[in-house]
Amino acid sequence: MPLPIYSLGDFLFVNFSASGNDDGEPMLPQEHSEVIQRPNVRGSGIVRLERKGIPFEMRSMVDVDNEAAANLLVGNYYLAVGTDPLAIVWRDRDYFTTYGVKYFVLAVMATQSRVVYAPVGGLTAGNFVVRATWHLLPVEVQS
Amino acid sequence: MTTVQTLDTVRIIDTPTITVYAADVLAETEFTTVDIAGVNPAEIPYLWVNRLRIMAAPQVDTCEMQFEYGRKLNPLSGQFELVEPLEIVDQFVKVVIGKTLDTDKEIIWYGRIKHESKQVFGAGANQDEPAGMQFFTAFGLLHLLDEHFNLGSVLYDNTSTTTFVEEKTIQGAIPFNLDPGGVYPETGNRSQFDHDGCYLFSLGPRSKYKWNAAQAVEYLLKHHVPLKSDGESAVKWKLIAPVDSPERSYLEWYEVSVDRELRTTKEILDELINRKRGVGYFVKFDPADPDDPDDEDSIGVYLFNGTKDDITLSATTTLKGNQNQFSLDFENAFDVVESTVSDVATNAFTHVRVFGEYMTVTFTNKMTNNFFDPDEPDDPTNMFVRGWTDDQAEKFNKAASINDDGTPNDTYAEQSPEVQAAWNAFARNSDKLSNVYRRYMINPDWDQLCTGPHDGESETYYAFPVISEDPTHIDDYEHSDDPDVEAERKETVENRRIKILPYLVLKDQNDYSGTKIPDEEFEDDDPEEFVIPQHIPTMVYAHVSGSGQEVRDDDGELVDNPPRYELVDRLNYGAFDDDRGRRWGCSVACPSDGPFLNVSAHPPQMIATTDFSVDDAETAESQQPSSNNGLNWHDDLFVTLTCQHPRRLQRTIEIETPDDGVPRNQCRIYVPRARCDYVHAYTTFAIDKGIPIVTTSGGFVKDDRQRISDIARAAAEWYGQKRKTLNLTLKQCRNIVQLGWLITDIGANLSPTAIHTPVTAVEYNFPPGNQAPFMRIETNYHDLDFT
Repeated sequence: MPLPIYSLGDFLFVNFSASGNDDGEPMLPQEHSEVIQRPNVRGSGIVRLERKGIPFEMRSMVDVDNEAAANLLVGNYYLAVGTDPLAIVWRDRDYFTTYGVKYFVLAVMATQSRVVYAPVGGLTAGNFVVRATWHLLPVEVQS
Repeated sequence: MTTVQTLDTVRIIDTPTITVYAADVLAETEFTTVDIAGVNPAEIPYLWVNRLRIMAAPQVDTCEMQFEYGRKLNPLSGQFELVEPLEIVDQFVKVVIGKTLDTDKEIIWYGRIKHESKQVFGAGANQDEPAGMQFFTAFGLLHLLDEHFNLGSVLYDNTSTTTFVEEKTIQGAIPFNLDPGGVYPETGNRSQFDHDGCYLFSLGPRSKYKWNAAQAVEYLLKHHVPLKSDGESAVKWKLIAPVDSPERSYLEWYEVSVDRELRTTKEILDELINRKRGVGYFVKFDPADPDDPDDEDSIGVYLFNGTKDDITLSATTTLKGNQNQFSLDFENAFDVVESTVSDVATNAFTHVRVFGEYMTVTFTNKMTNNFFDPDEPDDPTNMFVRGWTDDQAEKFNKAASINDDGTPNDTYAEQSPEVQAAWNAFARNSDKLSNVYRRYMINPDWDQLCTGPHDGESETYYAFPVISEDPTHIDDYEHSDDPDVEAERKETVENRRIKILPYLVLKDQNDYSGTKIPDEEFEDDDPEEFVIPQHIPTMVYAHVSGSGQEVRDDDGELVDNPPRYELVDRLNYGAFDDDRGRRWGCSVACPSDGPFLNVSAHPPQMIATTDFSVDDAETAESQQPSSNNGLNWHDDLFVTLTCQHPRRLQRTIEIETPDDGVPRNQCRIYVPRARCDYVHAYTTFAIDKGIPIVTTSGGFVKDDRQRISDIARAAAEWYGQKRKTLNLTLKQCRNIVQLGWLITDIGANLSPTAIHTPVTAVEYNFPPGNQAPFMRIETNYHDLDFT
């Protein structure tokens, strides 16, 4: 069985999961609201503030062949911050074509390390892995 | 008719969309969405409205907007683009706040951006991506009139031979119903007929037609609004107050007299549509009906007032109550954040007191009684006494025949009569003697009674009567020996403080004879005749000939030796021959520093035949009154004076009787130029061929008692109504109230609270960030207050 595809823009991952979420699925924009209550009036009301994204965090992991490739990838991760929003494919599901949503990279923190055990599987079965924590903002775009 | 406006108990409230349009000119068809980087700006979230505050005049609406420029994400493309700063200062904007309930209407507001401030962030690493924040402030359309100064005036010119009427524009902003520089400068100056939808100024400086506030506003909105380069109005302005409409009654019940010089149209409107008369206004852009090809864009001036019920001011005048009254029920609304009801006790008056100018009285009296006794000059029946001392009189009489120390001048007797006369004239010209035979003073002991000075005029009345505040009350000013009656009819006036005005309140082109003062209405001149009446200067006239014993035939005509009179400044005009003519002149002046009257003959002793004692000093006949038909000031002179009454024109109305009977808090209102000028019976206003022409009935030549009574009554109605201000904040932005609506009460079901104040501001707030917008409704009466 082939590995499911995880990607953020052109970056492919072995794993890519959102923090605080059992399955790790990325967040989508959602309706914001403000609760209004008034003394001596029963019940509550809601002011709808429109649909918009909430910044959230995802962790990614991918293996690469060697240290040089790992260094290059870490550098590219940082270059993705502040660029046009990127599409996410999560477990083969393209969030842009499915939901019209891309993700703006607010920040990233990446590390790379050599694995000490014999690599099995992965994208390249390389001896190096790159892990990153992504701070993303889902945005609805029309094209 | 009060309707109940219930704020919906909506549980889920949507945030409205806001769209901003801009245009170079104020025309509905010109508005397009603000051009931002060539993309659909409605979808660009970087221009937003922070606050829109719509207010009744004299406040001007404001709309605060914010725009972020720099590298921005375009949601359409999903890519970042460089967004340039906006250049929209001086452009007109249209702000549309979308409706959030199907039953609502959009909120549409028009204004003009007049202010921009910018917060500059930097230009990026490559110095090619400038970024920052722009903050714009747009003002409401009323601001357009605050930029337009009144520099000229449009006259109604019907003198042309080729056309019936023309507009004639002249330099200088003529005030409404005023003639600056005159002693009594209030006068009509409106054209008799309207032209092209509004009245103009009369061709002459005065006219019998007065502007009312509605007419003056219509004139301003037609001729003193911003123009295009071709001289046409940039956009039409309209007073939304059709003839006979309730709104028009708001402006037609009070007179206006408003200066225009160096003032903007808005400033003049603020005074014409006078908050101090309980009426307010606001402006609103009314786009043309697209289905009506004849319709065109216009800006409407809408009126409102702050009274709930109609007020009957007089038999013919009714001030209509507010036409949009509603009870606001928000007891169960979720979204009410704040509802503050304020009760300001400082406006809880027990009395309303309206003041005008000081009243005046005009009367004719002989300068002294008929039996003047030189030894008793202070007899209370003498109105005037000498304004000089005995010592001054002696020095005047002896003149050059004595030295300064009173010793005889030895060389005087050696001179010829001509030289003596010259020396005497020189000595009498001294400043120290300037009052002698010239200055006459109100007798400090004067009893303030006036008696008809001529034969057949026997009524005796109080010079300063008690004039009742009520214009419908018939006053009796006749003298009574009953002290109780006298106390009711006679004002307490200190003779030393009597102020004689330099002019009479009467005008020289008017005929006040007989009973015309009460029977006729005296208007200013007819503009077509171009005869400008002048106020008659203080009159001093003299009995110059005749025995004073009239002999009349059966028809009442004088047939023998009738008394003849002449104004002292026109002596000789009635001379019958050389013997009875006079070769000396006289002038009259009223110094403003006290109860004085200057009657200056030339030489002065010519009106003091008995006071002037020649002794050995004067031998020249030219200087002797007895040789020159001299007059006796106390026997021969009569005066017609206008004096300031000790009271101002006023009307007091009690709103509520204080428990202790002592007025607790009085509302005082001053009405500039409101006058009350009373003329006593038998006042001489002209001399015709030696005969004094008198008003036999007397009466009021100017009586604004009804006018200030109307103001007092309207103010009493205003303050008699308990009022509170309401500040209501809702967590939504909806089109639920309009400026000028009168909120009668709130909390309709369980605890109704009277408000009775009109909406004077509606504010929509859109806080930056992820916060709910809110609106604020304010009612007020400080913006609409008689004081």
